Amino acid sequence: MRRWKNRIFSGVILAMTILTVLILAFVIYFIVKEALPTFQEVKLTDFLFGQRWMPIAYTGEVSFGIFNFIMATLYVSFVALVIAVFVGLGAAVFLSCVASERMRGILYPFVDLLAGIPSVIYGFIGLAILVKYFIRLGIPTGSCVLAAGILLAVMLLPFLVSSCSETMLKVKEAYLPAAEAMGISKWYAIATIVLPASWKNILMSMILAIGRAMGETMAVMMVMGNANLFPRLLGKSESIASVIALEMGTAVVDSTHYHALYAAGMVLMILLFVINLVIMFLREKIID
Amino acid sequence: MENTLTLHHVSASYDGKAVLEDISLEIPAHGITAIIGPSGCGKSTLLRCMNGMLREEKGTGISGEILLGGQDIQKMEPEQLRRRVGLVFQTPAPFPFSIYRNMTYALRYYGVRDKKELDRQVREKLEMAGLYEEVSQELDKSAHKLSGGQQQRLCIARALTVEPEVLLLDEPCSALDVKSSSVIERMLVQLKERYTIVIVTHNIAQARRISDHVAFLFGGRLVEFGTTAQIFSEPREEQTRDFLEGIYG
Repeated sequence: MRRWKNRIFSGVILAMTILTVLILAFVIYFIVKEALPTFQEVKLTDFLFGQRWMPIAYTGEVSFGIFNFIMATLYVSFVALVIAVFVGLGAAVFLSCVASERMRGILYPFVDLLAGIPSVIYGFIGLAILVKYFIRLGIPTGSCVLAAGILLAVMLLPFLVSSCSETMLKVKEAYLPAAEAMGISKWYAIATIVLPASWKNILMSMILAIGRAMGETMAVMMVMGNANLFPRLLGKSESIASVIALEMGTAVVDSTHYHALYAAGMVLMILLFVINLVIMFLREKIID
Repeated sequence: MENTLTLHHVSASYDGKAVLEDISLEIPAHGITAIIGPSGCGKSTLLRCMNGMLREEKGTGISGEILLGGQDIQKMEPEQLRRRVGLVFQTPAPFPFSIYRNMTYALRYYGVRDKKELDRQVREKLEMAGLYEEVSQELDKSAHKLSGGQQQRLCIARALTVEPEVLLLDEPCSALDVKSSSVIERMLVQLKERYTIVIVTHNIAQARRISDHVAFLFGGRLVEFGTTAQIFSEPREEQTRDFLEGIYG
């Protein structure tokens, strides 16, 4: 009887694992299948490097170039990551090395709560507050890459802060007493031991964060202006995720427009995959 | 005697609960003083009083006076005090760097930049810890790749790089096997010519083998202090005798 129970149990969990992997495989298959017809109409190089996106021939010819979208996606993610790493590391060092246990207990839930706020709320706050400030600074309509970057940075913070501060706390507890016992100041020890020893984990959480950043749609869409322009820090632009979200509803099924949107999604996935690989490679190379 | 730690009526408490009560003790220079006693009797707390680390912890209260070479440690800068009174912990905690960087970490912090001087110091201190021959070919290797006993000797060598006058050791062998322990014991006996050593130990036999003086603590009080020979052959207090005979501990 027990043996049967064990068999059923391992069978069920095996099936669930296979299901998870299958879902991923299916998503990839589906996107690739829907994306490929694009390239019967559009040359791959035109698609990747063309700057004109004109899916419906209102004026002149149709054109499917997503170069600006790709650059905007990379640019806004980069801006967000730079801000978030900067602020996040500061917060993580504070939480792990300065705050008392009690203070940590109070502050941690707040950081985690940040992760639970729906992105549309972030977008709304961005529209209501950030964009207004940018208007006051003299940017027409206030929507710009920097606004999206700042907003996105706030959304990335909880990932970075909670995973980094946990590592740092462990590192600090292991090494700081020994450093202090030699009369070495706390800040010197944090800069020269805690930060370098947490590097690996910081990179790891950056991978998580960049995935989130590149795929984030709603909040970015609400404050970036959504104009097909080459991204500038204070100018409007449009990310891949935004194009897909904005146009998928109106694209005629099986039209080139429809397939091109899938192809854009595929490019986004490949980009993410390549970036993850690069970061992983860097981690192995530099740290080990 | 110079360089001696002197404790006058030292008491300590954690969150209002007394851990050490009225301890007066003179630690002779250039010798090994072992602090023994059952678990929870305040041995480690006493050690942490001596390098001022206890003072910085939250919820602790310390009274009494601790003199280092006649100078009140309360009036010294914590950094200065720790340079003069080194502490080695129970579990070896080499920094996650190479052996060489572990050894030069504190030296660089204190402004030694000259490569030759750094090399000389690394070699000298590793030799003192009896580790040089084992690792001289692989100073660039990560310190975490060393065995437990080697790591602990590295930590002792590292503590010596700041040239302390007193070296405090908090059960340095409790996480090590017998062979590594005996290597460390031999090394400590050699080190006492240059440093004053205070060792907290659970291991009574170890205290007997290496120490010159023994302090027996019980329930936060100093029951007896004397030369090792006297404590082990003719303890004055009944509690000491009971402890050494293994009645508790």
